[in-house]
Amino acid sequence: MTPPADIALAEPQAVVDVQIVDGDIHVNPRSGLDLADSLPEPWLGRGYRELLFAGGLLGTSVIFAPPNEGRRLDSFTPLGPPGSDPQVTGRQLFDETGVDVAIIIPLADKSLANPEHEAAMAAATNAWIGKTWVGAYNGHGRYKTTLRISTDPDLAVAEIERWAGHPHVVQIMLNPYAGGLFGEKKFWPVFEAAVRHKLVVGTHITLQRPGPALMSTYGPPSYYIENHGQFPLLYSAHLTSLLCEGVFEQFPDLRFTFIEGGYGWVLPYLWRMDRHWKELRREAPRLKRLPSEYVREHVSFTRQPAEEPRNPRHLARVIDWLGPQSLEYSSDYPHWDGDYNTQFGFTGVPPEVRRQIMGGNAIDKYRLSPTRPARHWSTF
Amino acid sequence: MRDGYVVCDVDALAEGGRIITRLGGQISVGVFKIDGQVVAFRNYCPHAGAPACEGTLGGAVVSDGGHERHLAHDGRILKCPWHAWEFLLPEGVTITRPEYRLMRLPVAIEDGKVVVGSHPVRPPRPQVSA
Repeated sequence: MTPPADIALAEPQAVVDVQIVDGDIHVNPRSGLDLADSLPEPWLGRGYRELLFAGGLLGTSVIFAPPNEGRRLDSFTPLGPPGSDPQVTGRQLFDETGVDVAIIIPLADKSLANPEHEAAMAAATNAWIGKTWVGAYNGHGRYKTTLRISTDPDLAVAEIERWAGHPHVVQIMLNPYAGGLFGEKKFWPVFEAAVRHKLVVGTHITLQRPGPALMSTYGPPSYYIENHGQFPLLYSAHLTSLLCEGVFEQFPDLRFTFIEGGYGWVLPYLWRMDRHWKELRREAPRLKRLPSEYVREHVSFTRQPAEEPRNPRHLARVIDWLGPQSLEYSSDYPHWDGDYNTQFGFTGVPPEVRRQIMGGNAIDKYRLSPTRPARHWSTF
Repeated sequence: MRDGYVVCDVDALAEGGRIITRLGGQISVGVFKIDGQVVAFRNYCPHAGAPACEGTLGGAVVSDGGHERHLAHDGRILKCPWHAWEFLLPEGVTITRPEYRLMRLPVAIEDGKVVVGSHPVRPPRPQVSA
């Protein structure tokens, strides 16, 4: 593809500072069959290609009814579903939103079937992303990606080893509907592999069929709004487990990202945990310090969907309470509830703190270059 | 109208129709014909700056209580293309919080043309039930 003339004339070596790192974007194949062709054997030969993908991307299930099929309306194009065309995605993400570097969270797979099938779907997703968004579409290097893995730790570690050292893989993703809490020892080999390969571990809500995976704390939700509003409850359960099982003592270099669960809930939760640690510490002796100290050192939260208090200055107080090192910008492009206005939510926030949240924290955590090529077109 | 911009022939705007254009090539606006009335708004959502006038036009599901629910304002609800905020036309106010509104622009019909001004007007706040 020929780049636009004005961009083609730009000095190829020119670089600019990375100011905005987007910690959560989603890309899709134009057709499910694009993904199916990356499915490893024996699944391909068993007819899974036709079973899962022949009628479209049936491998990804949808619950309830988010607006516009869950995507912003202006991201649909005649060329394919939202997030499937690199030129449209690049325009909306880089040009219009102003993102410098984007971290892909691939959702284009079936989550939590049997672990072996899940591993095959993760492998297909990773292979497709490797060929396209962090391959042929990524001449500018502005896309980084997150590795999908099975919830079976052995299979997960094998997939991590397969991709270790890839220049654009910066994170691995544990499915939050993992059939267990993240602090459990069965997940420790995943953390060990991530730390060994200098990869962040993240978790992101995945689409699920209605049923136990979507349970609220006391029953199945009736509405999308119930499920959507309770992401923090799911994440606080995993965070509590990571803390109490001593995961951050065991893996002092582990960095963990909670993606798309917001931020406003974190400190009130930690106030409770800090208090109870002083009283109940003896039953969880691997937890050696205040829970909030581990969170400040090891855990980050992406902002979207950002809380919207009636007085926007209250967000500045929330940021000040926990400290800006734990908060990172994310757009969730191309989803309907995305954070596409990068000015939003910073009323009363000092400029240096805003710079940290918009990009500085993510540059440090993901070990990103502080500069990027000035151009964004690629050789796709 | 002083400082107005001709947008289109008045006949070019059908009932329930809209035109998205830029005044003077600069200011993006949406011009709608709802209930026979021509209204114009800045194409800018007060929530997060989305091109609100490019959303779908439909109705809103509301409830009078209990399990009752029904479609209201059919054809008069403009749904923002990003976060699905619902604006009631022709007033341009959100149905749940009328203080959140699209920026309304003055409209005049002159010599069979729709003329839109670039300086916003503030209509009286309507009473809206959600």
